[in-house]
Amino acid sequence: MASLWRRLRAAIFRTRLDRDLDDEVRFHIEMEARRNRERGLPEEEARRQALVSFGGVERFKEESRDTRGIGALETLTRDLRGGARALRRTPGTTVITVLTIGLVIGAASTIFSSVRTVLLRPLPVPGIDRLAVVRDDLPGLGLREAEVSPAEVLDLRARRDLFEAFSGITVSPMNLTGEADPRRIMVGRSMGDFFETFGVQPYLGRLFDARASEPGRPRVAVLGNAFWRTQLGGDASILGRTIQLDGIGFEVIGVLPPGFRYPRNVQVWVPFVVTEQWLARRGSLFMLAVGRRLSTVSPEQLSAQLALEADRWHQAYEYPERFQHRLAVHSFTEFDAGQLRPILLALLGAVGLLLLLASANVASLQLLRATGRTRELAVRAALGAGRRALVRALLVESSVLAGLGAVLGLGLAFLATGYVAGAPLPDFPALADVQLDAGVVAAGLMTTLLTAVAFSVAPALRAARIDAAVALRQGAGSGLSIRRHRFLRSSIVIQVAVSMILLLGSALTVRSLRRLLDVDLGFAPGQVLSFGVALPAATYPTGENRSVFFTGLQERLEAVPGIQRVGLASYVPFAHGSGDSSPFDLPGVPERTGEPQRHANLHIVGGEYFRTMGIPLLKGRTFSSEDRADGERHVVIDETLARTWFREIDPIGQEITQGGPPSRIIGVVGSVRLDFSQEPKATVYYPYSQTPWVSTMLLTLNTTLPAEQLVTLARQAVADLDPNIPVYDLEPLRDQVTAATGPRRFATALLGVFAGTALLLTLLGLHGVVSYSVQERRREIGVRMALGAQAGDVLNHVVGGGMILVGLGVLAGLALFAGAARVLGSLLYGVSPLDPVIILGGAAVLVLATALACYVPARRAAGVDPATVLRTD
Amino acid sequence: MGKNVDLLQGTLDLLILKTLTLGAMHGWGISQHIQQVSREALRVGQGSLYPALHRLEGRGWIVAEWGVTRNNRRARYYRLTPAGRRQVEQEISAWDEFAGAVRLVLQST
Repeated sequence: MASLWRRLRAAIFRTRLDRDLDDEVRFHIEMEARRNRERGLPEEEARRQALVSFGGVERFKEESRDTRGIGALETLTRDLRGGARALRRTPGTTVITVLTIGLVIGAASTIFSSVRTVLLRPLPVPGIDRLAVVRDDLPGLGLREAEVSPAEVLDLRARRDLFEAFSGITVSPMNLTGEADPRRIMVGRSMGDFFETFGVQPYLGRLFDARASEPGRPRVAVLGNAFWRTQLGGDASILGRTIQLDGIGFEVIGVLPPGFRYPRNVQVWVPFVVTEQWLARRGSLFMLAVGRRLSTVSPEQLSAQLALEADRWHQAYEYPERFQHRLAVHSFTEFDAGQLRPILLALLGAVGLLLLLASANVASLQLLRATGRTRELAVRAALGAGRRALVRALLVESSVLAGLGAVLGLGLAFLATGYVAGAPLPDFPALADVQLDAGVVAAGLMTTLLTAVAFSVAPALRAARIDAAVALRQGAGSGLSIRRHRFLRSSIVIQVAVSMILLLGSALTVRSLRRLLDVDLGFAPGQVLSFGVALPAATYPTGENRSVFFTGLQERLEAVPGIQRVGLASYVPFAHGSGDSSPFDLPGVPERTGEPQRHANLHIVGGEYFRTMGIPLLKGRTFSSEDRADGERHVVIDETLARTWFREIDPIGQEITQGGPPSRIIGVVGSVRLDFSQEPKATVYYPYSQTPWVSTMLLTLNTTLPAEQLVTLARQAVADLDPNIPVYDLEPLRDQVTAATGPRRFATALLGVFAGTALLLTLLGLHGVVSYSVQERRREIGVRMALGAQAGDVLNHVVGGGMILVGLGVLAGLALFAGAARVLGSLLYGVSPLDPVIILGGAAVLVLATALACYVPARRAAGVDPATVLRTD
Repeated sequence: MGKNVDLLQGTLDLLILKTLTLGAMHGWGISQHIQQVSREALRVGQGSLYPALHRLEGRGWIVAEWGVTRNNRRARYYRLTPAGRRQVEQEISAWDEFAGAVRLVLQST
């Protein structure tokens, strides 16, 4: 402790102690000189001998100082300054290394943080690994992993031997009124132990439990924290007040804590009232079932037990055989990550590869730097720097480098995660909670430090061992021979291999995306704007009320100049919902063996829907005023249905029954895709005039007016009919379609950036190594040329050497890529991972680029003047 | 000029400490004392003296302060601390043991 104090004091009072030491030394020398004079030596000689016998004054002073212990701090400062100077002397490599480290750390941190958040910790919920989502699987109906029905939720909840809490929730948009502006919000209607399942405690007031779902209970509501703060002013007096949802009053009893929001788009939670009608219906409906598994039950046991439960249901409730009903169970995090999982994992793989490449690159750069300074190090050693001092200086220098890179990387990661969290990716709400993970950051820092430092210590040690005299004699090119240096060679091969993999991956995803965007959707989103209007049951109780409203709205909109056509629909592909589907019957067409289950989507349309959407009419006619409410029931089918079940039979005039009275088919229209990943599904279209009970309809408009103007017009038209009805989701259809490709585009762009960075780094690394090799073998080249070798020969020799390594790298990359091909296949659309054009193209690009990188320094080698080289150095 | 014997570090420390038992002295004085008392056999290089002094200071066995010589010169005087005094005695007995053992071995035929 005392010594520490002394060191501190020494550090602070450095100057004074130095002066003291000076005085002491001077005194000693004077005394020695005086004694020499007494012995009879003349004045000058006396003094000279005194100095000589004292030895190297400066060196002694330093040694004293070292012993005194100021050493550490001062040495560090000196090393830092020396390191900074050395880095400044080679600005090119310094900047490149810092950028490399920075970019890679930034990318890695962002991706790892995203993965961690989305795949491991999507919600701040205790014991999240015990949460399980249960789905209905009905392959016989063409329904995979579908929502369950309320009755099924109740049955599952009754299994207290499996779940300590079980619940179901369904989300619907509702009109919030009673506030300044009628607003459309998302309401989660839950049953069972919803809040207990997630372990949520109220922030204000209280939460409701399973009993609130019983019929006749008071209607209560719980508000989300963000919603309460932003839309209701964060006023605590909201408790006890009543809000109106679709015209029905709900008393606000509580507010949720800021961390919890599930499902992520919900703003208000209310109990779902389980009435008689819901107890009878089974098979898929609309409930998202989430439960908390008992800690004594393992996931495998749960699966097995649920299979047995499903069997019990089949017998007790007479599930039809053809449904092939099963219960599927998933972990909550897996379910939540959904489609994002494979994309994130692929990006994780890509960033891992990039890290590998960057490490190899930085390592070889450091190696080259260190060996290029053999001369400098030899001189320093000759001047008296100890081995430890040299190593220390180099360590400090590379730490500075690594530190700068790490700072840059962290800055980039911070920006990137901010962007990811803020970017609108509605399909993957989990990303909204992405935060820079402290653990990830620490890991990134450690990795950088280790890499940059470890790869400069080895060459430093080697350099320090070199015999100074030998090093100085041999000149600049001593210490390393590329030919014999396995590490440099393998680092090149690694870098080329990684670049190959990333290039191919990037090219494939770009192609896949292009294919995706080119796919024929079956409709023309270009000129279509859509918006929705929801009529609350309270004020529009009958089909007639609603029909009057929508017909009136249609007429008003059609009258507006600038709006060419107006259509009506129960859902709009890509924009809103996907509609119901149900089995159908064709009395006039006997079932053929091997034909798929007769199951189709239902779509209720009116006005000029088909024309607004650009869906072609293939046969017969579409709906018109001929299809009256009291007349014969007519439907229009799509081409998929006609092709699959009617085949050669003409569908026009045939009858079809789909969960109601039989209807006559009057026309066939083109098929439509509801999203990118699935093929068009068979659809039956019903005229709105004959099915007016639907209360939520979407208006599709063909218009040249901009969206902002249209919002006002639409609101006005609706308000003219009823000022309490809000207009929601007014958007050009084209934007919705593009947004659906959002995540893929994001991933493709990112992969492209990775590939580009990888290629750039590899080229720079290769350039550096070849340049060094040329430099090192300058004498050899000079000798060869003096003996008659042509410039071209030298060129070939140098480039050839480099390209052999490149060739190895390309082959290695291809082999690894082929190995991973199957995994990639699932992520790609319409493109096979082993597409020969892409593979050959990618390899060609890489080979050409690397050849160029080798050529430039080789050119310089060829320009060597043998006479000059052999003379100097 | 006496032989320039390279003194082991520990031995030099012992010699310095012993010299200081006689009283406070500056660096020059210590080296002269050792030289004279050993009859010029031990000549302490200044390069070893001052580091040794600083080392001993670091161990807390001696302390230094500025003083004035007989000729009114400013010089740094070193003196023993109580801990240093104890150290001297320990080291002297250790040295005697060591020297005795060496002599026994050398005398055996």
